[in-house]
Amino acid sequence: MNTIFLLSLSVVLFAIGGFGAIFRKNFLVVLMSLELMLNSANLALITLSQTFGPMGVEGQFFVLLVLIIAASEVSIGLALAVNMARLKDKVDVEEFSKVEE
Amino acid sequence: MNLLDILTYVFALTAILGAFTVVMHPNPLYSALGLLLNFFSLAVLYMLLKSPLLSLIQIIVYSGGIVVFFLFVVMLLNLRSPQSDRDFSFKGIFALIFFLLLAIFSIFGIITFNLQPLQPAYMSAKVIGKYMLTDGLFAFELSSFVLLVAIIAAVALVKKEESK
Amino acid sequence: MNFVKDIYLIQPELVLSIGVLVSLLVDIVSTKSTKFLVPIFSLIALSITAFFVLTNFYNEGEAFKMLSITSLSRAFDIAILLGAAITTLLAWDREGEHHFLVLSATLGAMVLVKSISFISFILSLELFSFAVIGQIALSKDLAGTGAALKFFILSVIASSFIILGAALLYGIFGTFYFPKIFLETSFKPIFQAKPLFFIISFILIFVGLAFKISAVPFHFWTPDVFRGAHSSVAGFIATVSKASAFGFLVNFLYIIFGNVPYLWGEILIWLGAITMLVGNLAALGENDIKRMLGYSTIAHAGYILVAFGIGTDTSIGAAIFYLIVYTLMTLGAFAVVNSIGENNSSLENYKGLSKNNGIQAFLLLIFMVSLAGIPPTAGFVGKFYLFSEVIKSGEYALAIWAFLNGVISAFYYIRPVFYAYGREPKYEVKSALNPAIMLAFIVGFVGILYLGLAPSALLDFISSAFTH
Repeated sequence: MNTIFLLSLSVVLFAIGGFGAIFRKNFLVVLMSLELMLNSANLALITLSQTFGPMGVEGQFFVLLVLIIAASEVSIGLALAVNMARLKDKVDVEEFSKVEE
Repeated sequence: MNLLDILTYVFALTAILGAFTVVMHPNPLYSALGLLLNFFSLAVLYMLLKSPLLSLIQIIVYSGGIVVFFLFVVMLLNLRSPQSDRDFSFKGIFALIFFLLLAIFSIFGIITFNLQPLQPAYMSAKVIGKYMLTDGLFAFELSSFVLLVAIIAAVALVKKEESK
Repeated sequence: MNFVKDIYLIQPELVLSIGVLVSLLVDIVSTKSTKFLVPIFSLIALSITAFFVLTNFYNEGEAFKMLSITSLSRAFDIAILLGAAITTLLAWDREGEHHFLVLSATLGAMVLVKSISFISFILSLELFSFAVIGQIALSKDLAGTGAALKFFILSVIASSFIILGAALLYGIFGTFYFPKIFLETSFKPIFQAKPLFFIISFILIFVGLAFKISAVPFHFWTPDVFRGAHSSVAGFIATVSKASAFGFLVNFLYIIFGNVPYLWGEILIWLGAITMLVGNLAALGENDIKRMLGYSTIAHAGYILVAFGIGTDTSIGAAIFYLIVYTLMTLGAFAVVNSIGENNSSLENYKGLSKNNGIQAFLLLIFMVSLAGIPPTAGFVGKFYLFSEVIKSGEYALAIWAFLNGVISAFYYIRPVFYAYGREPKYEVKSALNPAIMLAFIVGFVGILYLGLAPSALLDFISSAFTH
């Protein structure tokens, strides 16, 4: 239970999520990877806010705001996924970026 | 090594396991379950960091809301996975190298920087709520607009045209 | 806790936020036959906000420890509101939600310009991006959904980079408040050594920001998104998003450092010089007018960055003037694209435009000439002031570089005009001219000619932001 370990964990989770967001082509999995990234930032925030003792309320408050951002992001992303499925019966990211050319 | 440390390491391991499941599993259904595992492990870590409010919100909002939402959409759309998903691609290799380097450098930076040690203070709902309605009031109000925009955008996107 | 003074300072934002909420009600109340009420209301809300911005132009101060309100940031507000009003005209026929999203994105942009805390910065950035994603995706066709998808993934990755960077910085300083962070960085000896942790958190934030403002290594998404989005949304991203990002940058540098210090200036100048070249060269080969305008916005961002890098009061004034001119002419060009048709954006369709659509061909000529910076248009005056500031600062090589870039850009701006007047029509293009588009044309046309012939009134007003 120390700062270095928890921060490293959060960076590792961030990297895994970022890799997934670019590597995978299924949009739903990409969305989940983006959630992982935002969550790992939350872990870093909570860990660091607890290094300041009672002064760390600001960090904890910011975690709530990141949560709000993540929730909004999921709702918009899933609405996009539903639209994709209606248009092409697929949620393939590559398929949709090809269309534009 | 006391119980706290053991719990931390165990749940850190399950968090990474969950993250790997999300990214690598071919079936999005299992990915969503991996996400659940990851969120739950993080909630336990938050609890160990003496932040019960955020830990509970993590479980209620993320595990209870968002993962169920994901599962619902995966089942609702019931789509075949893209064929070339998880294949070799230059984009994937580039992402792997970039994020690997990012993680290595960051961990190196974290180890070499002299961070303060943990001194957890009990963050009750009262403390956070008080901050939210005094110093953080403006951000709190602004976040309501973010939520409103997300709601309206999502509704407008999935709404079917009344007549064509 | 006494917020009365703070609330007094943010009157325009409050008015706009009320407008956002009421526009939703107007949308619900209006039926199919009264659909035009929503854009009319949103224009009214934007004008009332503009009125409040002008009456509060010289009220300065800090609100809620999250916003720093200066005359400079209010000058950017004017560019933002102008862009939002013209895009509302371009999107006249779209769903009511679209106008709600335009208003909320404008609110996000206005808060973003004034942010001096990571909390308000990230929240307003997200408010802006979500509203823009909603606007792009509202088309619901393949192109719109594809563009929204690309913009969505990149913008969320960028914001998670910014959030992680902010979290790491928070770990060092224990605060999200910019002035305190930079006070500590300049005076504590530990940061003179530039520890890796510190550098990584800054890199994370800068990578995220570069994605958002499409600065050079991360600009590749811009033309694709522009191509797929409705022209009003593309225009919105090109103008309002740029104005808010630059406003944030300048307000931030002015607040934190009192002025743009030497090191920052160097970085901004280099970035601007590279950005303008990349944008101009890439635009040369484009055969689609929307993609071409996408690259053109990258190039124009380069000119503005250079002016910010020089960092004198007059050069920043010239940059704000150029930003307003750029808003008028880019949105004018997008209005032409809009009236020719969203799906006819290939340059082939512009061949022989003067035969059937004389008005559009003439306006295309005016806006393209202005974008290329040829007198007597406002584009020339804006470039003239910008380049003369560069020369005044003694950077002759940079001035020549910028001038050469202007010459390169003339090639691709003149091509559609040449097609419109010099070629035979290849396809039958049916254009739509509704009153809203006409109004947008008139605003763009009159604005460009007026600012081209009598720029001093606006210039004096902008410089009063520095000297009052």
